[in-house]
Amino acid sequence: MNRRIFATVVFTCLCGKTALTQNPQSIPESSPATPVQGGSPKLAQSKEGGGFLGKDIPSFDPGSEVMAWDGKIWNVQDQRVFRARFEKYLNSEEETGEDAKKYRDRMKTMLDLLSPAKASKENFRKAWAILPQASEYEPDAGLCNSLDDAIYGVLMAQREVTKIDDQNRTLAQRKDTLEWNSRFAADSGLLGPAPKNPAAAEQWNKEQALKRDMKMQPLLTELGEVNASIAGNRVKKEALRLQAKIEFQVLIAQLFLQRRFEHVLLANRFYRTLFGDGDSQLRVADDYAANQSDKNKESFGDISKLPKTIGQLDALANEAIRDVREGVEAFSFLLEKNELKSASERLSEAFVVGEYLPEIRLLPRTKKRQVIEFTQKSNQLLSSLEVKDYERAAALVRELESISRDFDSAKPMAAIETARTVSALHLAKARAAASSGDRTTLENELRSATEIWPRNPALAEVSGAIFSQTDVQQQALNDFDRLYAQKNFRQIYEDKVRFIAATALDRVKQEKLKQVLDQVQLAEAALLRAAELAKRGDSAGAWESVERGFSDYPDDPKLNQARAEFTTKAAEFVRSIRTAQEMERKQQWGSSLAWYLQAQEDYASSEIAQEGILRLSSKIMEP
Amino acid sequence: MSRRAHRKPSPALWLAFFAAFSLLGGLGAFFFQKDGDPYRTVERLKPEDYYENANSLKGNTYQVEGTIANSLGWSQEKGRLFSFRVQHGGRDRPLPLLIPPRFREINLQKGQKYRLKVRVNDAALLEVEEMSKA
Repeated sequence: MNRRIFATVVFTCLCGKTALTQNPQSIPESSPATPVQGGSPKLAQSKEGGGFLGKDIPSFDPGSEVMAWDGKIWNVQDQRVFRARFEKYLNSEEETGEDAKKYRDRMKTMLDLLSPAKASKENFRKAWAILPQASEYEPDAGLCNSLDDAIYGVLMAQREVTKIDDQNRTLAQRKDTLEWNSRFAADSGLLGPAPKNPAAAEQWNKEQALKRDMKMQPLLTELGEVNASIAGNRVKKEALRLQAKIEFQVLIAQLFLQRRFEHVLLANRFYRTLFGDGDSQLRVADDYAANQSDKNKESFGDISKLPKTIGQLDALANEAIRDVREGVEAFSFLLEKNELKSASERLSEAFVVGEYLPEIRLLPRTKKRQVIEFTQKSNQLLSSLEVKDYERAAALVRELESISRDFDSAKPMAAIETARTVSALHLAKARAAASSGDRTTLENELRSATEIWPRNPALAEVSGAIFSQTDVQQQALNDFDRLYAQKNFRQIYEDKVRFIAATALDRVKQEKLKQVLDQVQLAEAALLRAAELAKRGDSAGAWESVERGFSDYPDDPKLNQARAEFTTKAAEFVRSIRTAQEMERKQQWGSSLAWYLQAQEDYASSEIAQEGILRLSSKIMEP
Repeated sequence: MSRRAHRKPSPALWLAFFAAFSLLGGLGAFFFQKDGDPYRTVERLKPEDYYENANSLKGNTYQVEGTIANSLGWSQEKGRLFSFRVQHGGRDRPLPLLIPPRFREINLQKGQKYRLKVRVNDAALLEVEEMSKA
């Protein structure tokens, strides 16, 4: 059997599975776990028409393991429903119980009784009698009962056909009688002698003809009715036979779509026994093929050329069973080699096709459990990739590599590393934007980084740092403005590190801060010098140092405090200086100069006095 | 004659002679002193007054005696500006002293003692009118 037919089996099986489970779940095309190839078959989106499975025929791309149907796209391996179902299977116990054995024995017995070599009415009745018993087994899902009902329906139809046949036979006898009576009626009119006179003879002939017609008319009418009834019964009989066939074929097709391949074989054998006329044409396929799109034909060929007979369906079922058997054997072999990825894939493929076949159902749980961890982690990996939790995905990849020799980490790691790199790039840009105060870019870059890797640990860290930095920066700027307005330069100086950082991006404030810091720096220097001089007992020098700082920054509380302290300690000198300054202000140059000279007498190193003397001397000596 | 020549003067005579000599010495000293203060008619300047309000002393003439302390400036038109330390009230008080150009011949050095006749000029500075070494 070629690959095209097998692909058809797969997709038809999936159709059946989807129909059995629930509505298909759309998977975003951009999801890294479900890469949709550019060449994936895209189906015509016609919603009109009520043909079998609608007008959109499912298509499966074996290259990408992507299946498309009705505008939805699945990855066979990634579909959540399938994953859940497969995991459930892996955790379930093998069906080796007494009921299961009986069921399988009964199925085998029925197939055996209906085999072509043993076909007989007796065996048919025996096999038919087993069907209700087989249906008692819960995993059979009542399909044997459905088959039983279908057989009963066919038999009913056949009984009806028999009745029609009996009726037709009766009608045929009546028809013969009527035909004989008609012939007799036609002949009996010629028994009397005809008159010699030509005119009388002509009149006599007319009367004879009228009499014959009067006798034959009811007979001919009834004969026509009988003929019509016979023809109608024939049509009815054919219709009944055809309807019974189609109903049975629909059941077989349904079983095939449900991947109940054993039931397909069984139903086929019942079908052949029930309809022994050699007509095995599968009429349901005609409706199917009529709605196939051109694109689908490109991918899978013309479906109208695919199964057209019950026999072909039977062959496909047998092929599927064989394929599942091989898949399970391959699974067992790969399991021995500890190649869990391949083993898991082979088993999942076999499971997709032959979920209900004995080869799958009888697989020991101990074997299945060996791949459950791998499968669960694989599924978790896919989920992690779907939700873009790349940290978790990377950890899962490492775990999968450690437990399976054949796990190929290239694809997931490529996705993970790409996301990490791009996210890191956006975060770096966000940091740069934050540094330059470009809030719009900052927000855009953070949003991009979040979209790519929402659970990136660095994201929370960086955004937190940026926003806290922004908050702190704004708070610092507010504090700076407030303190500057209050002329509390000392407080600004105390927190200079914070304000230097905060005003780094604001040139105006930066300049203000520089002035403040310079001012306070001078005041600090004056205080330090004063403290040093005071240690040496030079109170006048200390006062003068503070006084000079005070003139630059009169609002500094520290300077004020020190100034008051040293004023009392060098009272004479301070008085001289202040009086000199006061006199100078009053333009009493002589007195002012005298006081400056007195101050210099009091404290020979006084710079204020020296400067005052020089200043006033120059003024006095001006021409 | 010889007996009269060898006759000792009486103590009273000696006492009178000593008293007369002392009187003459005292008078001489008194008169000589009066003659050494050329500005004895000029009022002495009280530095405190100058410190207090020099402007109020403008136009007045005083005599002051003190020591040249420091040179504060020089101008061809206005002369030399010195700090002149005056002893008063038990402490030295420096005063600014402007020595006009007409005294340019006089070598003024730190530590020299002078007796001066000064006038408080329009700029309320002590401008020297006359000066003599003390």
